Amino acid sequence: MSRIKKSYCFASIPVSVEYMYGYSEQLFKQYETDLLPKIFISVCEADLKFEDSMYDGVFDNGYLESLAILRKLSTAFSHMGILLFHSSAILFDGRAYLYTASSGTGKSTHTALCRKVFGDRVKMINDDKPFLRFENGIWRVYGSPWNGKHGLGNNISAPLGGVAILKRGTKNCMKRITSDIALPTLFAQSYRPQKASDMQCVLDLVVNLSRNPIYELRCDMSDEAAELSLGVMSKQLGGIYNEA
Amino acid sequence: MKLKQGVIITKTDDRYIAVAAGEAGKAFSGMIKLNSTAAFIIDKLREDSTVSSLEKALTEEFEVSAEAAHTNVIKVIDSLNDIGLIEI
Repeated sequence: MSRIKKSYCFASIPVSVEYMYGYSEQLFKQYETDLLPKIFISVCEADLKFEDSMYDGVFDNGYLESLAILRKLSTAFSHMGILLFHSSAILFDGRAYLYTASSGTGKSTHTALCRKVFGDRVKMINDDKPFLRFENGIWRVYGSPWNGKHGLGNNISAPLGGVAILKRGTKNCMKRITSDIALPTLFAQSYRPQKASDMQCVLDLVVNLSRNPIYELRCDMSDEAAELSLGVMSKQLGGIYNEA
Repeated sequence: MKLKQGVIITKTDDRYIAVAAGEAGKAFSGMIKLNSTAAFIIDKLREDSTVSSLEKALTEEFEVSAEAAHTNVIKVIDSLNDIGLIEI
């Protein structure tokens, strides 16, 4: 099988990727670059077999290859101050806001509500797996090609404004939480490598990330939920805000 | 007894936390919050230890009674055992 070798810019880092399937070539299109690569990633059949074993044989090789690339990239990135963080990320008035939770809680539903309520003021950065980069003392959120089942995302970035840990509720309320309370969820939603030396880097990044404004958001699927979450986070309010 | 390979401890602003990678990561994928005594005991368990060797190390490092050291050591070992991070 012929191999594809191209350079891409992910989280502002030029990366050379060598792979086999057209699926990734298509997926990465808007991230192509002519810049000299700083890191090199190559996937082989064994990497696809490994991914297959992780997902019980439900995905085709093209998709598995994109996951193998993501795993290698995220591992290399963890040593460069970059964290892959499972969340739906939006740009609102110049800042990035992240909504995180286990799959199926309603991250994408909530950010879709934000787009509906705030229109053009909201732009999708990434609906599933943005990269978070700590550089010069601030966290910045970057789009990535791994943008969830609806393919929502753009090759854009913005400084992090806040993180909402999303929980389903019968009424809408939001409160700022301490880093100590936020840490287990932030860790659970971060890419977790298998090797201890890589994991040490991820853990240190997660501890650093937890020092940002982190909120717990309990919400339903009403427009008020989106108004509440972006209202509170963009004004950096603390306390408990309850629309009821 | 000994701690499985791959347990990572780091300090946060408030306390210590531990997570697991490698062999230990196969047993446990969460995060444990620790005080300094528990972090110390876990770190000692990286080498083959006994309850009494851990108690001795603890009383040498911290100002604790033999009784308190025993309680702490047993508590940490039990917790680690529950989540599969100890190998006999």
